[in-house]
Amino acid sequence: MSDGVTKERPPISRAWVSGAASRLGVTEGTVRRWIRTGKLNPSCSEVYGMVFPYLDRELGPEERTEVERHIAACPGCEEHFGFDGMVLRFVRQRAPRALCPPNLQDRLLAPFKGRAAPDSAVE
Amino acid sequence: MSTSTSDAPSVALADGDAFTAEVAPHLHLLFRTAMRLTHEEQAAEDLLQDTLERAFLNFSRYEPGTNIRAWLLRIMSNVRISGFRRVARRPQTSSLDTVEDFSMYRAVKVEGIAPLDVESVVLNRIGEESILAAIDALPEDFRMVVVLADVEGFSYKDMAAILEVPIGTVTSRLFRGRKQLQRTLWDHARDAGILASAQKTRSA
Repeated sequence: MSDGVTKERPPISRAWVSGAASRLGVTEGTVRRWIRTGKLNPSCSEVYGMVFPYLDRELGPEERTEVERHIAACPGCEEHFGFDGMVLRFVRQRAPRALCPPNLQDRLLAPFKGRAAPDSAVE
Repeated sequence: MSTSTSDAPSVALADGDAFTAEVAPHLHLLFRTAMRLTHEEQAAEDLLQDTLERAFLNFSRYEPGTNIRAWLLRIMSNVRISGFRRVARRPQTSSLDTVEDFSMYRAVKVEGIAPLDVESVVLNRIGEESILAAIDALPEDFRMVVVLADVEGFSYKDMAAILEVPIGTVTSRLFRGRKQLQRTLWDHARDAGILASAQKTRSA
């Protein structure tokens, strides 16, 4: 239902619709209409497929809105997206970034010092 | 963008000194990436030498003001791939069907740890070397996008240009790579006893 990891597209459950209605502050009829007209995507697995482009801010405005609206309606996905975002920030902040040792820098650049420009580009 | 200390206005005529001035600031990026690709310093140095030589010979094709970091990495990626062709072998590459989906979120729920506690009771006890080891354990296709995105901060568009693949390929490799990274970090937390003590903390 709303664990955000559902595999196939299930029929939309009553519980999801009523939970979404109360989280969005609208009636269940409105939620059903939004689903019918494509304004609200009720599929957790479809929306979860966009988790990393969403977290990376790589989605276009329409898809971004689609994700945000689903998350606003679905507590399971809100928690799941938040969790993956936390792990991602952790890796980004803590992954070590080594520097090229100075003696290696010297060895790498030595062949080019004082060298003439090549005649023409090669593939 | 990078500023050249050379007074030559056109990089099309760049000699060795102008080239050196342009690429020197990016050696750290190239070194880190070469280390993640090859895992050891001598092989990384060989890859860096070949990359710089090819970059120098093609420097007239580089358009000043465009992303020189992405340009250099694209050359490195090509040098790496043509090296495999020469020796007729490639390291383990990813096949989408063989990678099992893993979700750390689901695993956390199964273990009965509150998702919000995971950062403080699990992740913060994983050392930096273990993060690096987890990245190094990824198949090369996945490792490259994880390194470019999460260590170096490249956009999907830049990664697509560096790897010469469609953006959709970058997206799917990144999804699989990050999921596999989650699994390796989780397995490490289990093996290192971090999970057991996280559960003890919770039930205490």
